[in-house]
Amino acid sequence: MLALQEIRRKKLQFGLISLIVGLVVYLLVMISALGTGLLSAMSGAVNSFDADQVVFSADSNDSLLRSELTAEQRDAIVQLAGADSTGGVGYMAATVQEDSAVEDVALFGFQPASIAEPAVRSGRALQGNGEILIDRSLSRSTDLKIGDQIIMRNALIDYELTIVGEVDEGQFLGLPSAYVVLDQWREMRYPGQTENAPAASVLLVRGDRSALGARIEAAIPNTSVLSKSDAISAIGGVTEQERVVMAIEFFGFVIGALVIGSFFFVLTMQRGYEIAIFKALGASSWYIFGQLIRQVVAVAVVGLALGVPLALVTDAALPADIPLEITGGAFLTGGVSITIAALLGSLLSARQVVRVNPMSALGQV
Amino acid sequence: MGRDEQDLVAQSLTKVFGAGDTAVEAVRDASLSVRAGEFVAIVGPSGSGKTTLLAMLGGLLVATRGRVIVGSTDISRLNEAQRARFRRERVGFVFQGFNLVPYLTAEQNLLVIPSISGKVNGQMRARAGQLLRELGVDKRAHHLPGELSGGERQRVAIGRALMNDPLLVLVDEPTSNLDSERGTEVVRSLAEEVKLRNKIGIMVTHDRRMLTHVDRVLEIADGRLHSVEPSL
Repeated sequence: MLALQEIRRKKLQFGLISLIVGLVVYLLVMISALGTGLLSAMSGAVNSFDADQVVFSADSNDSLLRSELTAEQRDAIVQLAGADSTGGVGYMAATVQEDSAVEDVALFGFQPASIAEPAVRSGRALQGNGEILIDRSLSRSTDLKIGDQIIMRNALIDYELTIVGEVDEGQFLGLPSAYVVLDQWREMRYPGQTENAPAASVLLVRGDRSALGARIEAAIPNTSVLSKSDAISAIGGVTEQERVVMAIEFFGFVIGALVIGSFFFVLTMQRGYEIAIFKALGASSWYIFGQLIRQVVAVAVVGLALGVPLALVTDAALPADIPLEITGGAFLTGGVSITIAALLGSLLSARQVVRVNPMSALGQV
Repeated sequence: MGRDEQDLVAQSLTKVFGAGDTAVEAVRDASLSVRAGEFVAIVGPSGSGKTTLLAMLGGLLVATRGRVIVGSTDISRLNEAQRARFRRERVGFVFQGFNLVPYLTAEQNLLVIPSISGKVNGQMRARAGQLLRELGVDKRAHHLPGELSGGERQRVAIGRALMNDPLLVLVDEPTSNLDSERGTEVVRSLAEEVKLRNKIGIMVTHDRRMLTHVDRVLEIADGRLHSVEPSL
């Protein structure tokens, strides 16, 4: 009661500190959202694989760009894991001709009717060669739509494809993605030599990593099995990017703790005499610190109430091609870390509260 | 010499600050006893040890030697937390300059006392209202100290001191920020409340003009306490 009365009477001071806390919350939410957005721009397509594990060729250093699995390897994996639990995926960088412009695209080939087949959100599934699915980010950033004929070019050969459907947004290495059947992909990736070409870049597998993955690696030469999340981390730059985002989040956290901490530190210093009176009247340091904590929590709550809507408004106002993904996790990160930061910061004042001598209430120290 | 359960008895109180060559005896061998319903003044110039004595009587300072018994409690035996509890439950303080919490209304300033004990309830609110009414400031219950006159602030401070229904009311320099006319006014109402409510009242002051309404005057000089014949 008393703690909140003070806030009521010192609206300007507490209003300003809440505003600053709100801005720190805003910063933390935006950084977290940007981190999520960047991660999904780098790895959204891989994340959308409906699989537990990804089998790379061991000599690829677990890179989707370099991995190549032979037909023998594929057959051996299918034998171990079962046809229902596997699906081949091919990857290549490609370009789409759109009028005079050229759009870079991450082109995936998938084994039809396997777990590698992506879920179609509008239009229809692929029925064979000559057809292509595009992801939402490609249809959004270009004028491409279902029914369009597009030209994809690789190694000076043009392939004419018809867009028949759309899949959920799932970028790879910052590029929008598109999907063709695995045969079509092999034709485009290894033009004129499909006879001896690799069967796929990687194989998706469902099943328990420790048992099945180890068996695959042991039984089949030149294979490397990663869980899906490890496969995402193995994408060039993803780990580094996550570290950078975490470092920025950590700094935001520290700044939040220091801002709140110093505010209450100064407030406690100014209140020395008042605290002495409370202590002379018989209040324990715990009681006084409890009042302080209530104020800290109130400031954090108001800060959240300011920062969160601000983040939502910003998200709505920003154009869609900025990789910003506000998730529940972003709010959780912002909210939890600011609350912890606030409580840590208030510890700065705890010693001061304890040190106030009630004798100063009688004008003596 | 039978001692009533409501009395205050201090025996041979001595307070030494510092140690060795720099040791200062602020209070030396002070003994006094005050009955419930009695309002006693301790007079002395600044530096005479009167505030130190008051602090020992109220459980704010621990005596180096001697003891203080208030009611049935020997407060010289209490530890710090127990002394805080003693102050919370048994002592009413009126501080220099009254020192109300500036951002709390008159009523809320009274409710500070139950809040510290963690028991603000309807009964306590009713008590605060009743005290303000008895002190004639009920119409100002929802005003901040800054909006009250000097006299009203004093009465709110007296109300706060009575809020926990203490055994002991301690008053520190009631006149330091006041002209003497208003000062004697506070002392008069304090004396009235002490009699009316049967409290042990002790006031320290350096201002001899404040002594008209007290029952007894003790004088302190260089840490030594003497009783003074009521010649006023």
